[in-house]
Amino acid sequence: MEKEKEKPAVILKGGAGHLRLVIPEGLPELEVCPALEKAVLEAHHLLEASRVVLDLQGRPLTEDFIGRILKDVIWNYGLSVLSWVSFDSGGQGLLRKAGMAVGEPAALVTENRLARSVQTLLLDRSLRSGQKVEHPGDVFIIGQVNDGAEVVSAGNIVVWGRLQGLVHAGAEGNVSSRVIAKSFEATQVRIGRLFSTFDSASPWYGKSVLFAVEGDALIAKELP
Amino acid sequence: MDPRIIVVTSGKGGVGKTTTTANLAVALAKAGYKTAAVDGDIGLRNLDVVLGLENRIVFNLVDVVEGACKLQKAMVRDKRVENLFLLPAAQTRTKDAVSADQMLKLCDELRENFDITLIDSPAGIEQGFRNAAIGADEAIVVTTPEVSAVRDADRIIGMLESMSKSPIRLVLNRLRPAMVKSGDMIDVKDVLDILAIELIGVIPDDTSVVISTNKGEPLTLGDESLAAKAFSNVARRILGEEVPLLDLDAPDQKGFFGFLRKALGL
Repeated sequence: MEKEKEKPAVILKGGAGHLRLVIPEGLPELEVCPALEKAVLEAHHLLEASRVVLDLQGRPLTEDFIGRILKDVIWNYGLSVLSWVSFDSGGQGLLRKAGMAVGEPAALVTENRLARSVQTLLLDRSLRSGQKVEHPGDVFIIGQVNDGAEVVSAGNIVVWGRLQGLVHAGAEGNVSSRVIAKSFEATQVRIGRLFSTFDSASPWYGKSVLFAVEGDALIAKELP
Repeated sequence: MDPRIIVVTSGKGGVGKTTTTANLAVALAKAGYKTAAVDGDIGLRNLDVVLGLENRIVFNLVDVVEGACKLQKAMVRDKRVENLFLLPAAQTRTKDAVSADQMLKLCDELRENFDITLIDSPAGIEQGFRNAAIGADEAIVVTTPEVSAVRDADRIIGMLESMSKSPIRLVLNRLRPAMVKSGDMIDVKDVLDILAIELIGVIPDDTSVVISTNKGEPLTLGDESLAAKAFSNVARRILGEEVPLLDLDAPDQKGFFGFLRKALGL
């Protein structure tokens, strides 16, 4: 039998005007709060003076789990949370219903010009069914976007892998946004308020494709 | 070997979780490991019927976690196979009857008493699934070569990854090689491309499975079918043996009609 893997730890990262606590998916749910507490205690002085982005990755969130993070960590240590980052679509809904800021901290991005690098989200992973990324800037994914996963971006979306899930570029109305997929197998693409549907018989299926808006139409172009 | 707890799950219903659990449990017990098959589907129990032990149930999982009886008392011993025990689910309760903490405690107790525990998870991604998976070390995801089942398996794998189950391995059930060949069914490779986890077995679609399920006699008790062989091989791989995948095309080539088919190039 395989030896137990080393459990991943909570990572503290510096951002522009905020700190980011990354909670890796490999950490069992019951160990998240103790690991967070440990990280918070180690960097107490830093965290006291700064606002925090809680990055929960693709972990499924439940009411109970969110409640425990709030009670055991956030309120317990007097942290100030700027936003919650999660790829779990159900979890995002729960957080929004409670009026909590979800996604990359957009307000901060515009306030702080130094933070321009935050505007492109580079994801070096695949998105599985049920996982969702929402981002106010460009999204670059090195991996697959599987059937049932979603990517919503205010800017461009590049999928450097197989795209089967739903992508929505220019979601805030920017029609100059584009979608690029290395291998296109999706049934729908959205840019701004336009959308187009496809099936496996479409000429774009399995190809490298660029989608853009021309006039009132969504156009597709095969890439070399 | 350290005691192991493996959850058998899928997301989608009806893809063969219970059949897989029953067949693997029998094969593992026959290999000499003290094996517990736990029905995690509280309220919709099935594993007892598939194992053919439905008439011998006195207590169930909920009785154990509520402290109404000891674990040993609720375990139904299989008389056909030494080392095989079933912990049945309650039929008259719902998934809310058991909490995550109770399941963790139950798994600790199972670990003390059995070499290998297989937990048959209910379909879905809610509390019932979470309870079935929470105390397990490893997971076996069962899927069929259908787009809907693969998408649900993908969702479940994401959840199992975030619960730190390792390894998470795939059983591809009900494959029809002839349909794959004619392009009417998704291929093993396509499923693996999407799910990106280790394959631990491919089970061919076989009428023997339906017959055995209805009779309550898992194939691995002694059936000669290809599906029986495939399930036995999965059990051997669980135990760390390296067993090559079965050539599922083989049966078509056997016998007189097989010979004819081969000669005619069909």
